[in-house]
Order: sequence, then structure tokens, then C-alpha cells
Amino acid sequence: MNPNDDKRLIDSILGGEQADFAIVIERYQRLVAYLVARMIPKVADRDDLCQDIFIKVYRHLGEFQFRSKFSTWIATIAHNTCVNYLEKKRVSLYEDLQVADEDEASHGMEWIPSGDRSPLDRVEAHELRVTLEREIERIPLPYREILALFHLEEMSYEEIGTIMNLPEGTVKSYLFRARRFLRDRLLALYQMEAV
Amino acid sequence: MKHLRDDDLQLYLDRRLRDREKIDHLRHCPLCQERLDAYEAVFTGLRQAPQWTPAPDLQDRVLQKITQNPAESMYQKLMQVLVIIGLFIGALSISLPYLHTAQYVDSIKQMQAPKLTPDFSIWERLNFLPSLKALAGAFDFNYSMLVIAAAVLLVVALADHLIGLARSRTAPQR
Repeated sequence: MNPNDDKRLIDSILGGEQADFAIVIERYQRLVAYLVARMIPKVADRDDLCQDIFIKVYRHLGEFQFRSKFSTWIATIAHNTCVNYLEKKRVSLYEDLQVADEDEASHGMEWIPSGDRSPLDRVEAHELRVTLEREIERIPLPYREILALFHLEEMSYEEIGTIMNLPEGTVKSYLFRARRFLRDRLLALYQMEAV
Repeated sequence: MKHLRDDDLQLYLDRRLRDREKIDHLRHCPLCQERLDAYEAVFTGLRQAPQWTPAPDLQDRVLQKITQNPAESMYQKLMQVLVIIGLFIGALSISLPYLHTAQYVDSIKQMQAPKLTPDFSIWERLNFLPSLKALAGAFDFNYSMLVIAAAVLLVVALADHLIGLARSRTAPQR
């Protein structure tokens, strides 16, 4: 999105054209929906959270200083709103993801291929997506969130770090661990099926 | 050359692997290629994950809230508070005779209340609410009036809510 477009839009809304906020919702509801869906397991609560997020965006619009992208600022509000919601529900936000240490493997790779095609190549695409989605639901919250922001919104480590208040290095490390975990889970599932 | 590390394979798929030697190895090593394929399946799945979409009326609901008159919003909040107060007093008056705490029984005795039985009338239950009685005494006010006022407000707030609901259903959609 062109930052000048966003600036014009924000100026117009702050100037009293409240109806222009519909354009903000239209532009950024996909981003908000990605985050909310990844962070909030209870589907029934997601619509109200999306509404709360956009109302907060509107109420704080005057505080946006254009130091980051508008999308990053909106995603930060979405992230904080979801975290507050989860804290109220006493959901654990800081679980870790157990992934085998790569250096512990003898060849620098813990999974040694057979030299044949990958077992995942033999799985039908739709089935793989469904299985992957199920596995994503099992991983801790920050990892799910990073996967959504990186792969669906194509955000940089820096942007994700700003949204989640994490150092860039941590974002990168979480991203790599999450993808490795998912690969290991899929391989374990489909290799087992093939045996 | 040693096989590529997992992080390098992920970097390659992110188009961030810059080391020419590693890229060349990857192109010629069937084992690393197979490992890459497994990651590629995960990356593709992540990009195509089925997505939840918000209700189609999200825009309408947000715009309705932000364009709402502040006085109207205050009025709605007041109505909500009245509902809560009304429900609280109602629930308390109905449940009180069943709460056989020593403190309550003592207070009843002091007031020479009628015998505590479940068929106790609601009016009698209300008249022996010690905290309300004390409150009414402090303001030199018949506390039963408080209960009547709360009940009236509860009815008004519920009626207002139902009228609002009916209006929103008949309002044209944007």
C-alpha cells in the first residue's frame, strides 16, 4: 500500500470524513483477520475482537506518527488487543516449542532422506493443507502469529518484531523453529503412513 | 562440501541465501534436494492455509459505533448499568431466603422477621434486606422505593434494547 494513500486517507478521516474509515477496514481487514484467526482459537469471539480492533484504530488514529507503515501500526493494535483478551482468559502466551537441536545431528541434518522422493510429494495437496492447518493449531501462540505475518502478509522480521515487541533475532529464530517443527511433524505422519 | 543445514534450506526458500557455494551444492545434491522438497511442501501449505474471514457486516458495525453520537453512547451505557442493577437486586431478593448464613439469620431475628421459609413472599424478602434497609435509613427514604425504581428502570432498559434491536433489523444495509 502506498504510504501517501494512507496519509491522505487518515487526514480525511481526522478532518471529519468518518465514512472514509470504511476504506481502512476494507484495506486492512484481511491482515486483522489473519492475526485474530491465528491468535484466538474460539471462533465465536473473533468477530467482536475484529470490531474492537478497528474501533481502537479509529479512536487512536490521531496518535499515528507515520514512523512505521500504517499496516504495522494496525497489526500492533490487533496483536495487543488479542494478547489482552487471552490474558483475561488466562491462556498461556509464552509456551515454548520443542525442536531438536540441529547441531546434535551427526550430519548437520536430523532427518536423513532416503534418496527417493520426499514422502510429502506423494500426499495430495488438499490433504497436506488440512494436516498442516491442524499441526499449526498445536504450536504455541507466538510461533503461529509469526508464521501468519511472515507467510501470509509477507512482513519483514523487523516489522514482525515491532508488532510483537520482540527482537528481530528472536523473530527469525521462532520462524525457523516453527517451520522445522511443522516439517518434522508432517514427515513423521506421512512416513509412518507409508510404512 | 558438507550438506546444507536446515536453516540454509529455509533461507533458500525465503530467497535470502546468498552463499554461491551452498546454492551450487543444493543444485547438485539429491539428498539436500529431497530435504528442500519437504520444506517446500510446508512453505506452500503455509501460503495457502485456509483462512477465517470476519462476518460481512463488520464494516457496518464499526461505522455504526464510530459515527454514534457520544450522548447516545452514554445513554446506552447508562441503560446497561440499570439492567445490571435491576438484575442484581432481583436475584438477591429471590435468593436471600435460601442463603442460611448465620449473619443473615441473626439480622432477621433482630428485626423480628416472619419465619424463614421458601414460601416467604417477595415483598417480605425485600423488606428484610438489611443492607438496603440501612441504605434507605441513611437517606431517610423508604428503601422499597429503591427496589420499585430498579424494577421500573429494568423494564425501561429492556424495552429500549428491544426497540433498538427492532430498528437495527429494519435499517437498510450499506
